[in-house]
Amino acid sequence: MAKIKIGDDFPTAKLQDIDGSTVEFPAAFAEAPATVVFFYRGRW
Amino acid sequence: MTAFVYESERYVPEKVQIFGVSVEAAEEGRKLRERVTRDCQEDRPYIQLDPYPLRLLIDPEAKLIRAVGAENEGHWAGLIAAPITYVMDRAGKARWAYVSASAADRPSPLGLARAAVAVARGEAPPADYPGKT
Repeated sequence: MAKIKIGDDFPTAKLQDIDGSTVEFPAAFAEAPATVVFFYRGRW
Repeated sequence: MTAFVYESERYVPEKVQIFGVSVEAAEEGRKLRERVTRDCQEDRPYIQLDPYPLRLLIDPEAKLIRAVGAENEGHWAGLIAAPITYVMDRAGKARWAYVSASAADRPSPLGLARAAVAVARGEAPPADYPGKT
């Protein structure tokens, strides 16, 4: 069940992208006026 | 992912950034990006893909996936992410969400793009497509 509701903050996280660059949340959100984050299962 | 690339003309001018998160290894993500890129170049060659309109992130231990409640523990392939989509504002607040009921249940590409553009402009997401939570 989704834990993030409208108005909630995004969890703190530090991930790598598929090219090896690091992305940190929530700092990354300050870099754009809006951000879409989609969770996907992969190639299945 | 394909829908984001095909709708990138709505996102890019508004400077909306897009991240996809899964447990998949980087190599699989790169293969996915390559397939989507080739499809786009064939289907809609007028779309500019440099810079690429989205970034795929790796969450191999599903820490973020669990933190947002997107974990699917019962999949035959092991733990994967269930499809959930958020539009976040610059302050890091969730402004719009679509919690899919199944893998086949995805937000309308146009509806999602309209919500993201509205948030980017400091407006409320369109009331006629409020998402699903």
